[in-house]
Amino acid sequence: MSTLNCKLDSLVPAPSSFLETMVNFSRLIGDLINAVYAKITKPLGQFSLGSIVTQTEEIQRCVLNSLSFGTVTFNSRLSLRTLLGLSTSFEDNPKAIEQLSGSIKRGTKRKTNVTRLIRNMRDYDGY
Amino acid sequence: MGTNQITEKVYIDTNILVSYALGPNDDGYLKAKNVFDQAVKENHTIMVSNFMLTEALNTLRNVITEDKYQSLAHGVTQTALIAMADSEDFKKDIADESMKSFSDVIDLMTRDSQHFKFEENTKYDGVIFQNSLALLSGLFGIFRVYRFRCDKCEQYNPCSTCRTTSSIVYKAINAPDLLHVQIAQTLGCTKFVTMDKGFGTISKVVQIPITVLQ
Repeated sequence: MSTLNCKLDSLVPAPSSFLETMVNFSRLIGDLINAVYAKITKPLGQFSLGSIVTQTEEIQRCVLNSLSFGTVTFNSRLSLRTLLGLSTSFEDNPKAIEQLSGSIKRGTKRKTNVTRLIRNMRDYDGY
Repeated sequence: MGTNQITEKVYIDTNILVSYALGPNDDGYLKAKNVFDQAVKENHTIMVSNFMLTEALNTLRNVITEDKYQSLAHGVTQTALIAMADSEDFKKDIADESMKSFSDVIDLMTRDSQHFKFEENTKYDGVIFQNSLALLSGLFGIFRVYRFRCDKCEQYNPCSTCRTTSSIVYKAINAPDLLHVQIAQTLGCTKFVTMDKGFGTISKVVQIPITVLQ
């Protein structure tokens, strides 16, 4: 049964794949607008065609605003994961907040006082 | 709550996140756990700033360095410690272990879109630094007297040369604290939660409500 499930899973794109595609698509549009702005509109701006510059900027702003809140927050999570070399294909897990508790594995049982440690860091207390 | 409606957008201080992730071996764990339990129960959004994450990574590097130091036998000489500090293996060990811990934390947080939100390309106005300066110039901290204590065995000992037993230090809310508060406000958070009692001194002079966990 589990083998069958695995095969079916591989045929159906994961929910994150769709979002990933949307993010990539929106980035493509953004890049295209930036290219038009840099190569055409901005150089024309010096010939008093400021309104075209403004209009292009307005289009860019509209595209960014048209992205849903879900897509934008997915984008920020994706950026962070990419920065740390984590997999960019991941599933949402509303239980992760509970799994975060004690998730750092340490080789010692020594007690810490992180609040005091951070206080000292912020006070630049050290040698 | 029974619905998915977001009730509050909470900014957590670095001490809350790191303490919760370190677990029961940290003194503040139970207090930090309450924040996350409440976020689940009342469907709060925990707003995560890049500034907080940067500080969290540095904190983990400190914690793991301290762990390594504490794991050494008593009576270790300064020469031996300098040799260790200069060793590439030691540096790599701390760097890898702290980055692994940090990545594990981020891995979990980024998978939970229901409870955690991350900032992206937030534009910060220079006014936040001006506000911080204005706040700090209107406040003055306190003086504390600390007895000299061995980091290794935690025994109190006077200086072996001049016999002085303690030192006096100035303690106050500082630039990083004020920046956290300004960032929380910029991100539109409705509450700032910390375990650092020092924030009590500014709770009445900033716009955002500050909760200092007791």
